[in-house]
Amino acid sequence: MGLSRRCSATGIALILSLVFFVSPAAAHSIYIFAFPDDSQICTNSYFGGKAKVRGGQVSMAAVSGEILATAKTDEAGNACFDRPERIQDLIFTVEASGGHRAEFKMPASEPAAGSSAYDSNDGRPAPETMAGEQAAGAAWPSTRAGSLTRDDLRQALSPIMLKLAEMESAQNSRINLKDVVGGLGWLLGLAGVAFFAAGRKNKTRIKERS
Amino acid sequence: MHISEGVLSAPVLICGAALALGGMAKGLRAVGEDDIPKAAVLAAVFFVASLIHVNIGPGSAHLILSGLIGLFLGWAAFPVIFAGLLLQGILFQFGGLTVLGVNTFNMAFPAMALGLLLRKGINSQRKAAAFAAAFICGGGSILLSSLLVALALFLTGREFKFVALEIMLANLPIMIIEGLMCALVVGFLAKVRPALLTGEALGFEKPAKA
Repeated sequence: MGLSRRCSATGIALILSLVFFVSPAAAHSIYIFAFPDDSQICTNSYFGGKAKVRGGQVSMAAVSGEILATAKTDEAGNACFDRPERIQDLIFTVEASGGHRAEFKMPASEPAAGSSAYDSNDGRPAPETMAGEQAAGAAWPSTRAGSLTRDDLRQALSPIMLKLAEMESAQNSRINLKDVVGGLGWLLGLAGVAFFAAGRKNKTRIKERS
Repeated sequence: MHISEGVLSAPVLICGAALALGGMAKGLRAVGEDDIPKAAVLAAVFFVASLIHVNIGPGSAHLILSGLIGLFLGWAAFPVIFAGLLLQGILFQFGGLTVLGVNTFNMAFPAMALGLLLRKGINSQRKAAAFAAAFICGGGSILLSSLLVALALFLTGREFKFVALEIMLANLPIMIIEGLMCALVVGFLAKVRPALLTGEALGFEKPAKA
């Protein structure tokens, strides 16, 4: 009995240590996010353990499925693309070794936010103008806005856009301890169902014998 | 080791699902009443172990412990691994639901085959032989699973040699770690609970009649 208890305790300790060994950010699978960077749209791809995807195939596609451009990730997991001529929803897909694949959808409003949100002569934001341009499917213009050019703003906003995209991606890829415990609860429940089925089988057998 | 959604072609997905269903049917029949607690604990270990990542070279590998499951459960590895993968897919978005069959087969079949083949080995009175059998089962399951992943990708149109080499290299440290873990668990159980390693407990000997 003592030995059995020791074994059970060891088993539980093993599971618990595995649970707590997992850092909150660790996850399997692969992740990708995109952010406007200067005149380009860049993507960053990483695995669940935060290892960067190196040499992964990234494609930029329209919602219709048309592939607009492809690129390979560098050592830092980045792959950059020139902005497409038309403002549209974009889907970035990364494929890495071992059949890993992930997608990221960038709405048309996002690249615009990093590029041409400031489009008035006095350098102040003019969202209405942008909305009009988007609706017409126009290309991103590059006009001078007072002393502050769109390129200046784009450059200044790039690190912020990257940080925001990183934070959003980290939030989405984080493993919740509640989910881990919930999964273990499901398995416990399944074991209970199996015991119930086995018990019913035994009862039937006993009835048949008597 | 988890192949993502959208990577494999429909015929490969259907074949994988059919094979996994066959294995599940056989596996569910193989689970006896006494095996339920063992299966539940091993399912919990599998579910949690996959969250531990090791960043290696251009990729990221994680523990699977399928060899351990195959060693102790044989055919029952199929439903156990299926339950673990299903919960991982739903709760953590690892792999996916359409690739559940292929992923189940890729992980469960080598574990089951090697487990059944090497069960007698871990029952050996010679410690070195038992250690070797457990090590081969743990590491070999990962090796064969890697080959099956490569085969699934090859059948979808990738170059087998390149993909297989890439996956095996990425999983090489995991093969060694899993082999050692499997051997350590068997060695530990041989000391504290040898009753779990008898031919009767492992299912290759019929229980003695009272």
